[in-house]
Amino acid sequence: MATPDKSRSRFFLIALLVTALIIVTLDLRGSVPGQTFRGITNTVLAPFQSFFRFFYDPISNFISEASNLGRSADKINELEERNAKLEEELSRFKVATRELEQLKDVLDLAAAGRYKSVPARVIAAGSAAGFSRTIELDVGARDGVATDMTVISGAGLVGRVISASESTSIALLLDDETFKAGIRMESSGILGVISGTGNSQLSLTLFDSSSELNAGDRMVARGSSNSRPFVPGVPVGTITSVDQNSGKLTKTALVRPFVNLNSLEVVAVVTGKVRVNPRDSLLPPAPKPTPTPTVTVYITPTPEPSPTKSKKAN
Amino acid sequence: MRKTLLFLPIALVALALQNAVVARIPFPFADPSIFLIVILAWAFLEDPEFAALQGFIAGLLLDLNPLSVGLIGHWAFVLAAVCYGTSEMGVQLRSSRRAPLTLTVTVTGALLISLILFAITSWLISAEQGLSFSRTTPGVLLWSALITPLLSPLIIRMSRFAQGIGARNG
Repeated sequence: MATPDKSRSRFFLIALLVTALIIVTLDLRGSVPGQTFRGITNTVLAPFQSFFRFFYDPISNFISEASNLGRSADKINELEERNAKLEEELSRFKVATRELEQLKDVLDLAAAGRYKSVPARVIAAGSAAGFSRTIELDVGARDGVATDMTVISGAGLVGRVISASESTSIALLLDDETFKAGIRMESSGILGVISGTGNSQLSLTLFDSSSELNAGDRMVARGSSNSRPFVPGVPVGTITSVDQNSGKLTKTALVRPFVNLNSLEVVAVVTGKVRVNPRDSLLPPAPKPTPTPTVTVYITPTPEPSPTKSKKAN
Repeated sequence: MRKTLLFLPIALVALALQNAVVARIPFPFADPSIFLIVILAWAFLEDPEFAALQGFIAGLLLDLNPLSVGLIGHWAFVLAAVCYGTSEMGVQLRSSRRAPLTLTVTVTGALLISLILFAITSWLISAEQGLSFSRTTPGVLLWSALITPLLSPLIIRMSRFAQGIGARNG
């Protein structure tokens, strides 16, 4: 039954859909200043987000330890009530210690590579339903952060900055499908490109199909001109499997990143140019091959059997 | 119109909660989308015309979310269409519309349709998306089926409040 009301609402829906398509088309043509609009949304959302964060930070530790709560729930509940204040302080302290450790790691890496960097906290993350792998950092233009700067953590490369507002910035993680970065293989120095796959592993392409690749080989960022978007020498990951298809012009492999991208809390943004390429020096010490256990047995030679004994034996 | 004005802060709060809290908790599989659950449940309880408009606004908000990297207008298109459809279904089910089970099933279904529609339109305009569909969808649906019943009393209450305002002031 098509009442006038219904046909009106259908017409309205079609008008909305057409408007959306026009906006998409304009954005595809690049005539919408998307980052400006996103900056405005960011400003509107910021107070709400900091409000939620105030409650979330102490809770985050409980969540990570939630698996232990079931075992002796009653006792823990009792203790929680008695020591509520103390526990809150403790959890804040734990969060602080964890963040401090991560901060120390990332500063160690930045110092070893002589990168000029700004430490940053991850304050929000892109949702899986939004199909994007991004994080929001609490540093922005006033800290010297600009687009196309390298983001690192203690373990290695995290991603690059895709937009920066006055006090916050957004970084694209390296497992996002749109992410690409040039790399150099450890020791051999062969060049290639890694790209995100949307899954936990990255895909590596080498332009020289004759070059040798093995699982366990490691790589660092090649670095871009003027150190943007990537500074040279940042550890990227380890090869887990090589595509042995010899018919192709290029050679491909899967790479596991050094950084665990799902538990980022403290990272650093490299803000300055790199003068000295640290080459392979930032990679963690190579895993040593496990030694095959050898057994040494000491044998004391038995004294010569006496002739009397041998006689008895016979 | 006032209903839509009330809807905007609710959508903003849901999105901020999503960005600052939900997306940072390491859920197994994938994180639930509180934002989409709120929007779709709201649309289910709304008249089709308003649902389409609110879906469009919510989609635009998601497109302009500083953490998203896709094309602007993409989610607006998807959510306007899905919210309209969800609301049409709500109108058909008028009597049992506010039952938590009906709400959960519809919202989870609408969420699946949104994700499929988003993936298909992405493929059509060959826009790259950061996460693969297969990696995302099962987890998002599972969590939405679990979380919607918990959120539904709150959403139903807020929606009733908004309908009240709408009825009084137009």
